[in-house]
Amino acid sequence: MKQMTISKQAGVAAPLFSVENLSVSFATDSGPLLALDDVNLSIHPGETLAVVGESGSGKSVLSLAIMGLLPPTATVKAGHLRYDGRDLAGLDKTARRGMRGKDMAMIFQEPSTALNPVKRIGDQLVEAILLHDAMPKAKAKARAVEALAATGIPSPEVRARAFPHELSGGMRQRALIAMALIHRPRLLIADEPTTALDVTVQAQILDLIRDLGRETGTATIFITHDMGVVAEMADRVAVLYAGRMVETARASDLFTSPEHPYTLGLLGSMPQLNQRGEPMLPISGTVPDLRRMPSGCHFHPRCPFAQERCAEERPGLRALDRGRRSACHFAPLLETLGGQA
Amino acid sequence: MFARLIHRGVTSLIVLTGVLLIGFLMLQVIPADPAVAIAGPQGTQEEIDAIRRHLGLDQPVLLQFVWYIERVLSGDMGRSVINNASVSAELFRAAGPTVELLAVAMLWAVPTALGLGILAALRRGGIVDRLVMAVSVMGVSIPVFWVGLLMIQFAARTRAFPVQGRGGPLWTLDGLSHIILPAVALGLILVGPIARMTRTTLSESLYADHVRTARAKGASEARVIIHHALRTALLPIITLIGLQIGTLLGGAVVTETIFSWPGVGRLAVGSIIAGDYPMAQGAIVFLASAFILVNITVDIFNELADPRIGAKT
Repeated sequence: MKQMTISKQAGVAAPLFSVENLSVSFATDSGPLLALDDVNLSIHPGETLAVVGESGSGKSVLSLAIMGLLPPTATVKAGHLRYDGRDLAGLDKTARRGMRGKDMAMIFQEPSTALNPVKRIGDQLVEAILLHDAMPKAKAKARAVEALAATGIPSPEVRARAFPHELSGGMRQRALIAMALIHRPRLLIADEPTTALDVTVQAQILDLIRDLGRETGTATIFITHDMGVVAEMADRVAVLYAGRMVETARASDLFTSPEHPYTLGLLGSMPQLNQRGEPMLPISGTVPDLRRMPSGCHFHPRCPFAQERCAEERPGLRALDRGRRSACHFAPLLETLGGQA
Repeated sequence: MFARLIHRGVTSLIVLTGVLLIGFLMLQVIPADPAVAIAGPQGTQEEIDAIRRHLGLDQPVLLQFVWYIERVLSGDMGRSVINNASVSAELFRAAGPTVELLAVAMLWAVPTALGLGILAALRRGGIVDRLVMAVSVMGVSIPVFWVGLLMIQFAARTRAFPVQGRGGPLWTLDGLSHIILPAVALGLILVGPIARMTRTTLSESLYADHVRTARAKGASEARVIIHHALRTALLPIITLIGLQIGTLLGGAVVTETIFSWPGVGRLAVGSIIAGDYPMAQGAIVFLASAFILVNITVDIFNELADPRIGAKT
């Protein structure tokens, strides 16, 4: 019995949530567009998984697919979402809706537009409460104020009566966080929650998400393009490039020895990690147009290590040591390319 | 909000003075001479001159305007030069039927337009959407007098509805059957623009960030649409409805004339044709004030519906 608990803690336990072979395509005027291509990831209770990539890599599509909020132009072509062992594909719309906001919640990128502009903050929280818990309105109101207070909003009773435009950006994001965490969801998706905020407010919001997440034992999928945020928040990292997952590793491993040239590029374009005086290494080129994807490895036109093989053969995600996986023909990079570098 | 209302009131007064002036001057340049009208076909030149002096028509135009404003302010809009009836009393009598007609027209047209617009927005690109848009474009392009005439044709042949006049209060069967045709003809003006506006704003707001947040909270689709998407889409729609009421007042003039509806619009047209100065002026001032009043009301509604408006100023 005791051994079992130990083995659970060692990571053998079933993940809280997993994405298996997920492919999502969008119908566009110029034909279907594959936004997510065979993506796999899993997250354990209490864990923070960062999903990293440039704009257009499919990060936001991934988060919407997990929440079941894809726009009608998008279709899930293949794959499964598993929550606590249950396949979400088997659920009807009503059951899926019942999970949203209760079992899984989401914090969005733009706090200025993510709140309903014509409803009071408190009323929006009360709505969130009453959607999943039947209780008298007065009680829900009290709970809304409590939730606002828990996010560190000063004089929460006053703020609850305010309209969104009367609050600062940081305050709005706190309100949205309060709303997302009000039912203590086991899975939280944070889609670039600090991108639209001032740097000083960013740090506060990150602390808040981490602290509240820890308090409630919430597993967090943190979507970002900012490697600094990843370093601060993540236990594990999954790197997306042009709709495919190219690398996944523990955060500490990813920062010390990235196993995909794209990750290397992402780290090179992060100012803090560079030695003083050393030039920053931006990734050359731009994210490819999803409709005209390069052959073979999608990254090869921008890859400093690309060889002929990369243009022809698509690399699969291969397992390396310590749970790392990379979709590069040359992983592990140091051993294969050590001579060149 | 009260400061803004006072501000609106003051500007409205200025607009109203302008309306009085334009209405007054327009009737000055119209060739019809009220003195001739009063004197009748047998009137001699001396009689006509005497009437002109009696009415003050021989005085400078500006003086006549000042007198007119004075009289309007004291609630006296003069007397009809045709039948010597009090203009205020006539307007008061005609206002009821006009308000009744406008109200019934809006009562069916606004919900219908909203419904059609919502339906079109939810099934955008579908058959329903195209049908709704085709019908609403038709509603915009077909003039109200044409629709009215077609309806009279139809009603006259089938004898389904009375085509002329008002049958009495709305709650009587006669009153109801009389108002149906003019109200339908008049309301058709509204359906097109409001349906289109609803479709456009709603199909945008259905995918707005805050609506996505509502979905992420686990709200049902009906709740998402009604409480969140439509709630914010409503603001431009309310503004449009307010503007359309102006068109509606204009349409009421035509509709009332076609269906012999005893309202202010018919009174205005009738008195202009008859060269009845005071009556025409009264009707024009009445219609303009109604329009201004509607605009203020729309402003208040908008302010209530959107807390951001008050905050901006």
